[in-house]
Amino acid sequence: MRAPRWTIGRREAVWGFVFISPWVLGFLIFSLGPMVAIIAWGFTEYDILQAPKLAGLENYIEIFTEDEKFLKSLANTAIYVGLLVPCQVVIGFLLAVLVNTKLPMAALFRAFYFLPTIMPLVVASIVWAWVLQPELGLLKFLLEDTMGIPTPRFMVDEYWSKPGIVILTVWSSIGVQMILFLAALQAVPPHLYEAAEIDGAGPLRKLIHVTIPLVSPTIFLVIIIGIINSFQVFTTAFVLTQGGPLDSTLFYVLYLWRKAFVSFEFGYASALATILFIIIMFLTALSFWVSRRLVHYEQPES
Amino acid sequence: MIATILWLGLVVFGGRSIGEQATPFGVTSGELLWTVVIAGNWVLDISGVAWMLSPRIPRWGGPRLQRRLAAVIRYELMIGISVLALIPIFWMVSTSLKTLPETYEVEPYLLLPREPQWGNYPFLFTFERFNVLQLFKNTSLMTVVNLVANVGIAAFVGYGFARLRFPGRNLLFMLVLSSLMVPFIVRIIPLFVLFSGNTYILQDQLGQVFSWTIFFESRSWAQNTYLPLVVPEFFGAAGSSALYIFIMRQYFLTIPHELIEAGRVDGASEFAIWRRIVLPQATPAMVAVAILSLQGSWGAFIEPLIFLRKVDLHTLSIWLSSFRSVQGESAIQWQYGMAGGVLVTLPVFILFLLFQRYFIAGISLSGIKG
Repeated sequence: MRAPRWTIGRREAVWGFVFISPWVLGFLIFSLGPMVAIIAWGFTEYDILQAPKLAGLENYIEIFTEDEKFLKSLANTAIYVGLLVPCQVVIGFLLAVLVNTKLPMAALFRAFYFLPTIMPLVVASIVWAWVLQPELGLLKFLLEDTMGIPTPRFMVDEYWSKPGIVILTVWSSIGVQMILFLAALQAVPPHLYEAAEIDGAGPLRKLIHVTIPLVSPTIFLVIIIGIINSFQVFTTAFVLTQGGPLDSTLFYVLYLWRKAFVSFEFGYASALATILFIIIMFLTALSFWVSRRLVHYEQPES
Repeated sequence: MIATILWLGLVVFGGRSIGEQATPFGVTSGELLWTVVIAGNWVLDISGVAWMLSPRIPRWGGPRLQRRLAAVIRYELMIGISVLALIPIFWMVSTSLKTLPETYEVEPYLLLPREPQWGNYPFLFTFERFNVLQLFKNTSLMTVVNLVANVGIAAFVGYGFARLRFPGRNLLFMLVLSSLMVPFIVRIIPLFVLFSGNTYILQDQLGQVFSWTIFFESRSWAQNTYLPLVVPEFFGAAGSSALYIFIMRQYFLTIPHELIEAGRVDGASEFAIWRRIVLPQATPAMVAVAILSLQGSWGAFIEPLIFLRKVDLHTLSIWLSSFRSVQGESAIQWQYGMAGGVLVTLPVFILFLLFQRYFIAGISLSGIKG
């Protein structure tokens, strides 16, 4: 009796490995291999003309002691992430609350808010480059010329260039956060609201004590995805400002891209990439650690 | 909010000639009137939201009236935010139909072109530096190939992770998900070295210096192709492959166990079970993956930018970014940039309208992008 059951299990396991084998190959060649290569090249001088030359810690020493652009780009990116991710969470949540209704036409409005997300990011970027254009842009016309509200020169002013990119990114990504929060809101069991109402809770109380704890896994998800993605911001800055004005939108990956694919310092770029990877891993681990204490996971009813 | 939009609409389309009499407040009567209306409207909006949220504010009227009021406020906010969301898109379309001087007009500011210049669109195809038709072909080809690869691989691998038990499965699946954390640039630099044969800069300058690079003595097969943009997809190792695998796996988990078991009892191989029993059930998830993949490849920017350095190999997104990267503002012809934007966006918009449900299902399953 025992042997055939074991064989069935083993047959299934073999098939399992067959099914995942393409991914295993891909993982080894295109994910793990590159990671090892990047870490290794980080310790070399590699201009892609000749084979890499071992350079010890030189790249890292230069990055941490001499390279001002490294610090600048890291700070830029941190500010950008710090501005963007809270906006995505708050606005995404509020939008989801707004469209979480059975009123007629609500689906139409959901589709409207989602349209910018469908647009390729490059298109969104040039459209916003035009909207934010300092002399002719639509935003300047609507705010300053018609309403008299002084409008910052988003793409020219050192201090307003990052908020400009944040506005563009919120506009073009908010559909995703809205959909995620909407799914979470619709999964909140109605009996909890009823129970809260019986206890005399008003809408605000219900929001704070029922809704937010129950959607906290989604808040966490949005934050993690937001951090991982926005730390790698590239396209918007590349199209909108090309790192300027005064390097105020020189984000980390943009700087890395310049090192690797403009000046072909692959060893140096690899060291930068290793640092980026460590930062992202650290931030993800940190969010997981924080979330263990703050996120409420509903026990599944059995 | 509505009043603000109405007022902006009037100002923009009708001029500002409403109520020109002077008032003691230093503004014209029309401006005073509008200021009051707009401010009142915003006060109503904000207090309405507060009223909906806070139980302390006394309730008056029956529950039916309250529900109506809440609906009115909700609609108002939804309409107002729609305008915010759609204005840039409107602006793109409007600019794409203007003449060059019209894009530079500030007094009066033109929201709509005087005469729609439909000729802007055909003109895009006459550019000398870029053969736009070729770009369309390139981009569609890459998109289609990637779509096939992504759907096929995600369905195949996802089934393995969902329904076949083997040692280390959960650990490996965690590995799939954690690969989402790997920055794209970490994958791209080695990929660039791996495929450097097809970047003309290196190829021209360096000739065969790289013959030691991994895999192949002669890299001529890899020259001037989209291989680095396509091959990883066939191994489930591209940027968002992990998400597609995740989506398929989650869907396969919902397929009743009995169906698969019945196939096994009939003596079908696991491959046959996957092909004949499971796949036909999984169409919605496959459509979701197909659409996400299509949208992703169609708008892909960084990979084409890095790997395709020959003009006739470029994709649409590279072409569009070139409208912006021309140095000096005066060199920019916004109407063509916007027309290009419309052309590139249109296919994905149509797709969205047709498959909206799958789009949203895919995103709520995976939480991509952003």
